[in-house]
Order: sequence, then structure tokens, then C-alpha cells
Amino acid sequence: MTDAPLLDVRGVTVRFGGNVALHAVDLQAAAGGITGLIGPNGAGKTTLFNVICGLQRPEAGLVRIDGRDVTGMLPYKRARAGLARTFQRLELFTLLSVRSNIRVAADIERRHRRDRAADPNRVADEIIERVGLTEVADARVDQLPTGLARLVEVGRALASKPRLLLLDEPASGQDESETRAFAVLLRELATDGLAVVLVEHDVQLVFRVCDEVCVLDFGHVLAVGPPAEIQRNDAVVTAYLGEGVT
Amino acid sequence: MDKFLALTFAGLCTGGIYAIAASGLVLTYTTTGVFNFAHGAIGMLGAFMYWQLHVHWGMPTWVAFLAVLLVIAPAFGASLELGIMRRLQGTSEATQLVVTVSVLAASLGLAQWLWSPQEAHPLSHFWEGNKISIGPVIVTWHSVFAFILAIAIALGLRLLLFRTRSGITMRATVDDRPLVTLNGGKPDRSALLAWAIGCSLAALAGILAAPDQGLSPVLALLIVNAYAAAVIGRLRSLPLTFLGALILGLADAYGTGYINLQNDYLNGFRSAIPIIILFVALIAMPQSRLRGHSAARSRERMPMPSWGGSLVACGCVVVVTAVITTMITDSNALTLTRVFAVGVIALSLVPLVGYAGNISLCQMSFAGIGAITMAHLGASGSPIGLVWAAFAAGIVGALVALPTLRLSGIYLALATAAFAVVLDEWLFNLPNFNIGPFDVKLFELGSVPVARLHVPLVDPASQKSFLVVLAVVFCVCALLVVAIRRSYFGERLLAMKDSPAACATLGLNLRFTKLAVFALSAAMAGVGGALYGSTLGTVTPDRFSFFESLPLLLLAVVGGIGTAGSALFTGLVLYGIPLVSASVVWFANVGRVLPGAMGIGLGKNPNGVVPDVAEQLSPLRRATGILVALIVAIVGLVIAAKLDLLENWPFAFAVTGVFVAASAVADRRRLLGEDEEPLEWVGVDRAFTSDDVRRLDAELGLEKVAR
Repeated sequence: MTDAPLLDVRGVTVRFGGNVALHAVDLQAAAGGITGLIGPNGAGKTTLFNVICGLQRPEAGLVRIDGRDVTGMLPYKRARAGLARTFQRLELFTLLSVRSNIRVAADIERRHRRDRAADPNRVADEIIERVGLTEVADARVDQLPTGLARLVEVGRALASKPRLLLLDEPASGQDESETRAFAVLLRELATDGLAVVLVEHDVQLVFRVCDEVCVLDFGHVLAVGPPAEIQRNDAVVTAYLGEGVT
Repeated sequence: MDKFLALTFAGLCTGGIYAIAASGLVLTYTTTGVFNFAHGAIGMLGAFMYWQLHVHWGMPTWVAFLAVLLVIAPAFGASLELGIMRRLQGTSEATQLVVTVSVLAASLGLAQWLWSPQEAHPLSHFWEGNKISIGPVIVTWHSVFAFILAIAIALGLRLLLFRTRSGITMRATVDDRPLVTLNGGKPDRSALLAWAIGCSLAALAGILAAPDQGLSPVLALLIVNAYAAAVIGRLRSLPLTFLGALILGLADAYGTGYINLQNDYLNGFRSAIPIIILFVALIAMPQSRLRGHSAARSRERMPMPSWGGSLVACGCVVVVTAVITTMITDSNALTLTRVFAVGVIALSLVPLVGYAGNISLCQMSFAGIGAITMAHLGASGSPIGLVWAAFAAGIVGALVALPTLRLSGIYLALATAAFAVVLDEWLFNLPNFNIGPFDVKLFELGSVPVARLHVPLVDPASQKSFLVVLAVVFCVCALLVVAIRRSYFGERLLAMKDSPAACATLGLNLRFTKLAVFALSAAMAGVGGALYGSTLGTVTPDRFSFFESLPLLLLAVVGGIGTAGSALFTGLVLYGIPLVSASVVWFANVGRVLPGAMGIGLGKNPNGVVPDVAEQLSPLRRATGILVALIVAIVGLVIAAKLDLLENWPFAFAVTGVFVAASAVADRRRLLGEDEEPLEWVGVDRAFTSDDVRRLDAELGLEKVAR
């Protein structure tokens, strides 16, 4: 892990009408590490992702990627700065096959790097094998079960060769063995030097793979720290299980 | 000063009429979520109905007036809602748009059918001749009446929406339809009410506007101006809409009063003012968030065309055309050339609308630019003219796309419509002018001749060889569209249509991609327009008006906008029907309404006609024996026709019959065939077809259950 975090979010505030979705939220993610982002439904996790990738303009606050302030940038420029994400509500290209979904991303990446030698087909094949989609590579994505469809989103995000990967509930819809394989994949990605931010309801998975966990509740950061510490944190336990449980 | 005051009063009154029309539009949009493109046409039909009752059948003014407003128009609106709009719940924005545009096109056709455009339909003002003076200005009672009505309606709607139970249900329906149902509301009933009131307001605006504007189908366009007011109100706010309508009315009045109408350059500008305001209002819309998937998934399919299949299809088109030339007269051959010319214009919609999902209502305007470029730069019919046409139209396409890049859905459709109307109201009617060193020549205040496309080694005088040339050019363009679909660019377009948000987070510059596809599509439309011009001989602006773009889009969507074949379908319906109606007279009027009627039926089959036919014929492709028999039979029929054993019509029926029979035999054989793949693999290694569904039903015994 390096000292300066690859992703540095400072004091981000978002309001929808009178509702405060995020209140002065800070979040850091280091290259080579996995940062978990957990919290009850409606805590603001997806909104924070939207702010980081530029789909939601924050009222206040800064987003830095690799030391560069990207707060005012359009989403596609942030992607070119090394950011990729998956969506909680799947945003796959339903008119295309699994392979094409990943190939489009590889082609877009190749195009803005002006790398004529790169072959999107080869990149797509490598990624399909890596995330384990070989058997369904030519199926249309809208015919896949949710667990596999989420893997396609992960594969598509990887095809844009990110340095920072935001995963929004990638493991929901996966069975136990799929989740185990997915945890291995996540650790591999971190070892490759990616900074991964993981939003996930499967708390077991989060505590198993993450180096650092951030807990959000009603738009506020409740706690940040290594998994072992978070598991013992009273405020977190209260937020998840309610008052009076120890 | 007096002139200014007089214009101000006139402007306020026109503004009142716009306000009535626009508030009806906003009402239907806020309560049903459907932007009614046909609103203006409904107003026009209402005015015609009033003329029919009052002038033609001699009913007293107020009886006719109230009959239209309180009975006919609301009934029309209610039946639109019941018969058409209700089924659109949960369909894509594009389908909704095409259906309302279809209602517009069908209404225009209906008006021309029932009330001949050759006859005048004069309507007098209310209290004709009565005037009052307000200070130094004299105003007609009619105008004062219009303005008072506008204010009363604005107040009434406000009360309806905010103070009555049905109004509150209406507003709640837009927010969350299922929730309203769960709470005991009846969303269907409020939609019905909204459509009834909306149509009544449209009719009122039409009746008030007709005496000054003249009663003709063009009245539909006048009320299109009211769209600008609705957009200023962001399609939601009634007070802002009212304000927007007044601004429009005033701009219109001052334009009429202060712009020198003797000046050829500014004459058309006046009528384009409201549309320019619409364009500006659209561009000033606040940035909307990038769209992800809509909640309702469409059942669209977008099969990848194979090179083999596409080449065979193109070969068939050329061969069939060549055979047909030997059997028809010269003048029919000339009509058929337009099938292919218009076909190329329709092809330009496939990448833009079909792949990228951007709706354009100005494709004929791009075609018009292509046609005049061909007229001025392709003087002797040289193919270089086509290159210039593509270039000029492509640049204009990019210029149109540039300010509208942020828009999508209905806003983009409105912006392209506004551009089309500005062109045919103003720019196409300009005399020649200079921009720096460039001489710009347009339609030269009338018509310009376009030379016929001249290709080396082809007899330029023969209509029939011209027909074959155009068939070949069409096929080349169709193969280009296939190549786009098969390229990475094509995949990017489909991805962008599916989820712009996902594309942006992958690093795709959406604006640039959109600009590129707009320019490409405009260039292709320009080529089509140049060809169309050279089939017409001389071109006039009305061939390329906004209203000509509507059936084009409708038919392309009905044909199956995702496939190049839909373009041929479009051409055949537009120029094949005139051929049929030449021999069957009553068909001419049906032809006027047909494109609209087809579009209205779209809700049922979003994939379109051509993919359906292709699916029907697909068993044939694998049955070699039947295919050979089919070809032998058709060659036999052609020979019989050549030997005058068969007339043209029996020949056409015989060919169709042989086709249907062959396809039925092949289908039967395939169903009995033993090398079928196991059902559990269907859908994984190839897409589901309706046949598979039937097979599945048969295996599960569902058909018996259904019976």
C-alpha cells in the first residue's frame, strides 16, 4: 500500500430536496487495498458512488483521484483517469451478448489511449476467462441469472483497465460457492494494485476480504477502520441491530 | 407608440390562444406522462369540425361551438386514451413518441381526405365586426374573448389540479401510478379526464386561431408553436407555460409589425420566430441527469446481420428490380425509382434511431439540403454531386446536433422538429446569398432543376436503367448500414442507447459519439435527398417539409428500425401505394391515412414488420430443395408473364402465393425435422423465436391447458 490514497473524498454533501443523502462524508481508498462501504439501505452508499463517478453533482466537497481534483469533471473524463464502476441496478447493454458487453468497454478504452495494437476481442476473452463467464460468453445478457449478470458488470468494468474500481453489491444473487470464488477474484485484483471500493450487504464477505471498512448511516460516516475494529464498534452494532443489543 | 400598443394587445391575444393550447398539452403530459405530438393536429380537427357544424350544416354559432368543445373534442380525446394511449403504459419513450406522431400524421391525412385542401374553408370571428377601443387602440371582441378565456382556463386548471380530488389524483398518478391504485385512486379515470380536457382545449385554441390564420391542415403547425410555451413551462408548470405563451404571442406580434415583409430574407423569419423560441428554450433546459435503464425493459431484439445474408438480400433486390423493369411502363419505372431514393433517406434513420436511439424529425430537411446541393453542384448529374450532397448535409447535421447534444427523448425530437420547421418556413425560401466567399444557393424562391444521376456505361435517357442504378445505390447504402452495425462503432451506439450512464462511466464521450452518428445519418439522408431530387427532376421546398419527415420516421419504425430492410419497406409503402392507387382509385385516400394508422398499431409489435417476415422466411434458407423449387417456379412465372400468358396483377399474386406456399412447406418440414437442438439450450446459444415458444408450449402441454 502506498501513502497517498488513490481515491480521496472530502466533505461530500448531497441533498435531495429536504433530505440529506450525504453529510460531509470522507472516504479514502488506497491502491492495492479493498475498502468496504457498508450501511443499512438508504445510508447513501450508491449516492456516494454516483458522486465519485460524476453522475451526481455534490453540493459541497471534493473528489480526488490520484491527487487530481475531478469534482467538476464529466463522468467519461473520470473514467479515463482510471475509474470504473458497477451498478446496483444492473446497467448492462441488454441488446448485446456477454462478449460484446465486455468488448465495447475494451474498445472504448483502447480508443482513448489511441492504442491501435490492442485487440478488444483478445482483452474480452481474457476477462471472460478470468471472471468465469466462458460458458455463457455468447448468451444475451438479459437471459442470464442475476449472479452471472453482476459478474458481466465486473468484467466490463475491468475491461476499461481501471486503477480504481467501485463495486456496488456485486455479490448479491450469488450462491455460496460463487461468493467464495468472487472473494478470491477480489483479492487478486487488489494484489494487481487496484484500489477496490466494495459496497455489499453480505457483511461476512466484507469482513473477510476488506482491509478497511467504512460504515455509513443516514448519510453520516459512523465509523472507519480495519474489519476487526468495526465488528466491535458499539455505534455500528446499534445502527445494524437496534438499541439494547450487545 | 400607438403602433406599439396595438401590437402589444394583438400579441397578448395571440398569446392567450397559445396559452390555451399549451396548457392542454401540459395537462395531458403531467397526468399521463405522454407528450402528445398530435395536440396541434387535434386542434386543427376541432376547428374543421366547428366549420362543418357551423358553416356547412348551418348550426347556430354557440350550438356548434359548445358541441365541439363539450361533446366532440372530449369524446375524441377519451377514445384516443381508451383505444391507443392506455396501451402505451410501460412502453419506451420512443414508442410513445412514434405513436403520437402517428396520430398527428393520420389526423393530417384525415383532414385532407374529408376537407379538400383545394377548397377554402372560411371561418368568421366571434361577433364579427364588433370592436372596442382601449385607449388609442381598437381591439376586436374576438381577441378580447380569447384573452379572457385564456385567463379563465388558466385559473380553472389551477383550481382543478390543486383544489379538487380528481385533480390531486391526476397529479399523484404521474408520481407513482401503482401507489395511487393501492390508495384507492383510479389512474385510468384521471387519464381519461386529462385527455378529454386536453383535446377540448386544443379544439378551443384551433377554433379561436382559425379565423385569422386560415383553416387548413397548416393550422396544426400553428399550434405546434404552442409547444414552445409548454417547454418554457418545462412541461410541468402551468403559470410558466402561461408566461411563455404571452412571450411567444408578443414576439409574434412585434415580428409581424416591425419586420419588413418586402424583404425576401426576413419574410419567412417572422413565421419562424416561435419555433426559434422553442429551439432556444430547449437548449436552455437545465442539464438532466444521465439516464440509466428505464424501469420497463423493452422486448426489443437487435439481431446482428450476417454478411452472407445481407449480400444475398441485396442481390435479390437488384435482380428482382431488373426483372421488374422488363414488365412495366416507363412512367411506373420512374415512380419506382423513388422507392429506392426515399429508401436511402429512410436508411439514414437506422443508425440514428435504430442503433443510437436518437429520434430525429428532420430527416427530410437533411435530404432537402442534399437535393439542392445536387442541383447546384452536380449539374450534369455527375456522381460527384452525391459526394457534395453527403458533405453539405453532414455538416448541417453536425451543426444541428451540436446545440442539442444534451437533449434526449421528446426534447431532442422537439428540437429536430423545430429545426425542420425553421428550414421550411424560412431558410428554404431564401433567395441566394453570400457567406464570405461562398455563394449559397437554395431553392431560388421556387423550384430548382436537379439533373439525373449519370453513371458511366448506363444510358442516361432510359428510365429503366436508372431504376436499376438506384437499386444498386440503395443496396450499397444498405450494406454500409450493415457494416456499421457489425463494427465497434455500431456496438458503441447500441450500448449508448441501452445505458448512457454505463457508457459514460466506461469512458465513452457521449456527446462526440452522438455528434458523429448525427453527422453520418444526415450525410446519408443528403445522398438520399440528392437521389430523390434527381428522380423528381425539379425540387421545391414542400417536398422536404417537416410534415414529410413524419411518415418517413413512422414507417421506418413500423418496418423495424433496427434493420436495413425497414428502409425498403418505407420506400415501398410511400411509393408503392401510389402505384396501386393508380389502378384502384379509392385506395388513394386510404394511402393518406395508412402510415399513421400503421404507426398507431405499433404498441403491439415493437420489433417491426421486417424482422417478423425474416423470421417467417428463415426455415426456407436451410431447406435447399424447396429453395431450388421456389426459384424454378418464379422463373417459370416470369417467363409466362413475358410470353403474355399472365397479366401483371395475376403475376404478382402468383409470385406471392408461391412464396407463402414454399415458406409454409419449409416450416412444416423443419417442425418435423429430427435434428432440432434440445430446448434447454435455446436462449443460451441463440435467441428465442416465437416458434420456440410454441415448441415449449407443446412440450409442456400448455396449449391444451389454454384451450
